[in-house]
Amino acid sequence: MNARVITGIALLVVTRLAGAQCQPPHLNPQDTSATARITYRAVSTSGVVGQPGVGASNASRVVGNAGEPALTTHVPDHIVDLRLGYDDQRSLVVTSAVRSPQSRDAIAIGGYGRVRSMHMIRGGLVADDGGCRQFVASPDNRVSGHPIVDLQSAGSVMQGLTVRSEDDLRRLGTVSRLADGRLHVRSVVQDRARPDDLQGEILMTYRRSGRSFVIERAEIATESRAIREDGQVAVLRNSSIHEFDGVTVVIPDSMAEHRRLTAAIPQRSLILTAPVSPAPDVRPLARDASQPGAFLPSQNDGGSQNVVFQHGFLANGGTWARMEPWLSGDFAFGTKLLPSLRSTDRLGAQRDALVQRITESGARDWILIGHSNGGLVSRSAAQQIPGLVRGVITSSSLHNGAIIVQSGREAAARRLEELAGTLGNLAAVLQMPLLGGTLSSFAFDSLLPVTRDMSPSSAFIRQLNASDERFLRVSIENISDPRWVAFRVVGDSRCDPESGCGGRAWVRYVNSIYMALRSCVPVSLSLGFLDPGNAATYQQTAARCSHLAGALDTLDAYWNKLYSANTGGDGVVDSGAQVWRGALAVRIADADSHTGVNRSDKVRDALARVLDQQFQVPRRSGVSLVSAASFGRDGVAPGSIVSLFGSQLAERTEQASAVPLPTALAGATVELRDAAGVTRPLELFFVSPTQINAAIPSDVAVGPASFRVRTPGGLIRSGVLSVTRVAPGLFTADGSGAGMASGYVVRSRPGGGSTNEAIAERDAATGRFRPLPIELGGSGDTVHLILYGTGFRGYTGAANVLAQIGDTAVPVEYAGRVERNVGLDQINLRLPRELAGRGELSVVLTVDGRAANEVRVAIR
Amino acid sequence: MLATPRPGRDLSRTFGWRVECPRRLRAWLIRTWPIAVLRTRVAILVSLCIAPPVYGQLTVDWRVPALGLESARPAIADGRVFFAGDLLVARAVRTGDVLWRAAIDGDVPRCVLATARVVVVAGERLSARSAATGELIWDVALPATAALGCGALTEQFVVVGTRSGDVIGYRHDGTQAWSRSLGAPGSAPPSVVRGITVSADVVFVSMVQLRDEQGRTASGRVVALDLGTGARRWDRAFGTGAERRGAADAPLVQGDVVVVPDAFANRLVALDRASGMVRWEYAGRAGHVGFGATPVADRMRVYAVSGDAAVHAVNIADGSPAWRAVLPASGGVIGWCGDHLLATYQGVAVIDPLDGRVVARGLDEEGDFVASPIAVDAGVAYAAGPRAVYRIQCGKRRSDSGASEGRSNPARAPVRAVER
Repeated sequence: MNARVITGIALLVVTRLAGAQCQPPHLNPQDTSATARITYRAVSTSGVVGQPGVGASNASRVVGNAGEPALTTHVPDHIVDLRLGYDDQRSLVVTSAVRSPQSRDAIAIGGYGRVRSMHMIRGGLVADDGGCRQFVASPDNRVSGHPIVDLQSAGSVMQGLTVRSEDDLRRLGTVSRLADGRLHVRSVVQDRARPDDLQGEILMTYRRSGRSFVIERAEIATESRAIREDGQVAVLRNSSIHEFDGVTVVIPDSMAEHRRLTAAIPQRSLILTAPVSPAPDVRPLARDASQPGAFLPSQNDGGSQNVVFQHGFLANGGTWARMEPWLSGDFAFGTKLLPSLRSTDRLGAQRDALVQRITESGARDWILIGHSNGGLVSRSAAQQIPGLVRGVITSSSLHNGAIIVQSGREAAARRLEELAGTLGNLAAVLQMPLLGGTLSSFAFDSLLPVTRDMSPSSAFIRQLNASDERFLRVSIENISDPRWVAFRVVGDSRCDPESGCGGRAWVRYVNSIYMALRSCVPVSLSLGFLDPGNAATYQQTAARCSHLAGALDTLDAYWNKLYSANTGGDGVVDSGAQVWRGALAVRIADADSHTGVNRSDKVRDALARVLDQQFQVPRRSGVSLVSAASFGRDGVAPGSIVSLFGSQLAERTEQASAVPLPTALAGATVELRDAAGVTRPLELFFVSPTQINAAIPSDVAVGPASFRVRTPGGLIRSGVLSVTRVAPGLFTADGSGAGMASGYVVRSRPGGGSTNEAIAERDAATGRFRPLPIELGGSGDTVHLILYGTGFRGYTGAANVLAQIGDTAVPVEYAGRVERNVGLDQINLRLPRELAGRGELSVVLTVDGRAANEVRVAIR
Repeated sequence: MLATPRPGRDLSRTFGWRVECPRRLRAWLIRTWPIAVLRTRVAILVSLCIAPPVYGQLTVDWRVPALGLESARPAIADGRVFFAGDLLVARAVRTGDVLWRAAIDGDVPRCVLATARVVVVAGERLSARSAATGELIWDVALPATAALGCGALTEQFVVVGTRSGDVIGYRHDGTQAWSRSLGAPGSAPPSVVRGITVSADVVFVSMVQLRDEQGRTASGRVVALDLGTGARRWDRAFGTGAERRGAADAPLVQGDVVVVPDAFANRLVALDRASGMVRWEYAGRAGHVGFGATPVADRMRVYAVSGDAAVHAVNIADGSPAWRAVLPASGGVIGWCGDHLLATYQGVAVIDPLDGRVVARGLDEEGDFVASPIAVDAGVAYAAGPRAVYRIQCGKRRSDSGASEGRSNPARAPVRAVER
């Protein structure tokens, strides 16, 4: 990609991920063997630079400026060196971040104080102190502090600081022109709130690039003061020089843009320090169709049964926001997909998108659970890839087409015909009645193309029902009480069915109103009889009540006739349409309406029974322990990273902030008793109510073992595991255990020097990772594929580490731990040139005869 | 005359009490609601449509909030009823109060097995706890999960089966007495044990023998083992053709017949107790998730509930149908409750075993329904739903309440109405 075309953003973001904001990591200044761990993300204009991850170091004590102890850590992919120290609150601080010579594209920005993220944006510096404040190098050479919540205003400050003109640069600082036309911008850095705490200077060099100016180099020199615990003032001096290599640095135009850009930065550290499931702000809200076409990231609960939850018409993956956690609590699923397809597209197009999503995942043995149109899409997809699909379960799906669609189209046509009738003879001449039908069809097909496939006689449905289906099939037929079903539909579309505003309540409310109206009639008449003087008024009241009650009856009857021809159904799809011939049926009477069945406890119960009886999937409880990379349950290795999934594992989310990793987080501990009978606590990366990431000790005995999770509430959850010498697992880009590999490519050129290149990038629009094909380059280039994993450092011999890409064996030049990273292993594969042009291939790693999870790379 | 209630609309929501009103009559009444003849219409409505409440034989003694989804079959012993799901919960049978609870790790067991002294659950591990206090007595690892089938608890042994086709007998101190691998010879796909019933000195194991890894094709199997040694007495497979067959729950042993529910093909399969030969098969309506739970029986008939939304009564001698009672929705499980049958369908129906007449329905309010199997003791049933657990009485106590085997049906009037 062209660096000039693609506007990058801050090239290095040192950030702590989820966790307590405004609470810097804590270290004891007296601890000379203190260690630090920092998570970071990095991108460049050409995509991902190296791999983001967690740097964890047992750094030796370094005497820093003014005798202040400082720590040096080295992040695993050789991008940056971070220099750490303490601030006045005995907290870990980032004092500098320096570009690594191995990474040509990467840059880093010096930091200050409790800096947790630093953005270089359009020549300005924004340093985020961990969620509390931001420091922005302002145009008047002063530093202003902004609350993090006011990032928008911080952005506004920077809005005028474009580097499209020299004037803009002058806003950054004092500009001087060099002889060769380049510009020097000298900016003073100062903490306006605490000027004694931070002072410094940034000297930036820009060169003209077309109409804009491109930053080339930045020299940063800052001095910060902090009061140590013993009362002495510590001075931290930072100086660094940063080469930008033609990178255009831009400022986000808005908060949304800022989020979009930062969201595009892949976070492999997510695997280690955060739940695999998407962050809450990533998950679309229920019924939020604002991002059609967007896919949710994959998830994996550490089970073996892969499952797709496919939404229906005018919905997205968020429609499963209640059912999916319900079932995930009952069953340990493997990879879960909640695709959000364009629900108004033709069903064939949706089918193709789903097939692509499933095949891209690399996983097999899927159960597809589809609601409404999603059932048809799932069926059609399963017909196309029967080898990957174990079975399909549909709920309220219109297997034989929906009467309501046909009724709607016909009603629209009739309306147009009536309109044509008002035009008189001219309409007759123009044959408007015929045109009316055509127009309505055109309108439907244009606005809602999917409706063509939803009609009972559509070609899609005919072909779907005529095709061979060699997978397990179950249809859940939801039949609602027809009385007031239209109101049930409305209520369920707004709220959960059992809630006070849901369909069940709406039925009660409407029925109460109806009965009040009906009761009103005899009461009014009786009063009229007793009070002859006002008999007429009472009779009028009775008539009105009768009229309104009749109107409700009429509406009820109209809707039942419209959607089901009075044969019943779920309020939208009639009962006949829900019959899937050849499939086993489960019938739910008194069901919730079509818009509520995905949030219905009755459907949950039916799905649970079907998964149990028809698919032999046991319900899960407690906690399971799996490899954090592969999510495999067939053993874990000493010194590897594991994930525990369960419920009530911790009271809150918390992550470790330093190494040695703690053995208790948020009050939760995990103990492992190995085959030798030795019990020891596991070091914890991260805990949340449903997931714990932990490290298996390196000296644990091989053999059967057990573990216990103790929670602050006193609840103890336990389980068993098998410790094996190796249990190889490879991390994937999306953290699902399947799909695009997590790693990067190192390209060495004959003349010396090397570059790091990404192998996958996250599509900000779809949230999915897509491959960046590896270019094997010229004949002199040497290309290494670096993959991250866990559980294979204990191999018995180099000859027992085998790798295969596609059907080609590739030489393994290194396999083992990543220094200073707890539990993280790395494998270096030298890519042979014969792989050129092979496209997307699977990578199979076998260590001591045990295969790792299959991951994928693409080679141009 | 129909054996099931009159096909009409439930007007209970309308009038606040149970009304069974023929649909046509109701529609006519509503359509023709002329004010002038109101009293006449009301009189007709009252006389024809309002019947005495039909819940007279269904009483919910108590309803207490569930602690999670307690989906396993409960067990009753010595004044305690044990529910299991995320947690193993002991409750007082009289009040439903929680006596103690303990976490269940790994797979959720399908059943709770209990005596007055010990309560046993089998999921990923087999654990025995004190019935009085919940204290863990012993806990052993299993070769594979036992959560897909009910085990059995006898005076001497705890017998459990696993998802990999192993059946293991443990003594009451947790030591293993014997173990048998029942996986089909030469078959890589697993044999899943779906249930175990012990009768006299024989262990009857019902299984699903998958014929491919995904379970797209499968056979059913019933294996009889010696309780003391685990030695195989007979081994019978059914549905070895192209269709998908398999046992869904533990076998019912009644007299000299072993009856197995087949949820895949919606069939009941009756085998000879001594030899394992197939005596008869009874097919429910095709195209439905079938018999998913162990039937119950008396001396004359087998009663089973199916996903085809019906309770089927089958003559035990030859498998001929006796009656079929229609339920509003796909059925779940069935059990005795007093003199009657209690079948669940996301609600419960009380059914007269003589003629299949549904004499009462309940717990079918929206969101308040039964989702677990039923445990019955002394004519009282216990069940759990997503929100609550229930103690249910269905009428007078059956005269010969006892174990699942040997429920005798006293001579009664011949079968009356039948819907086939």
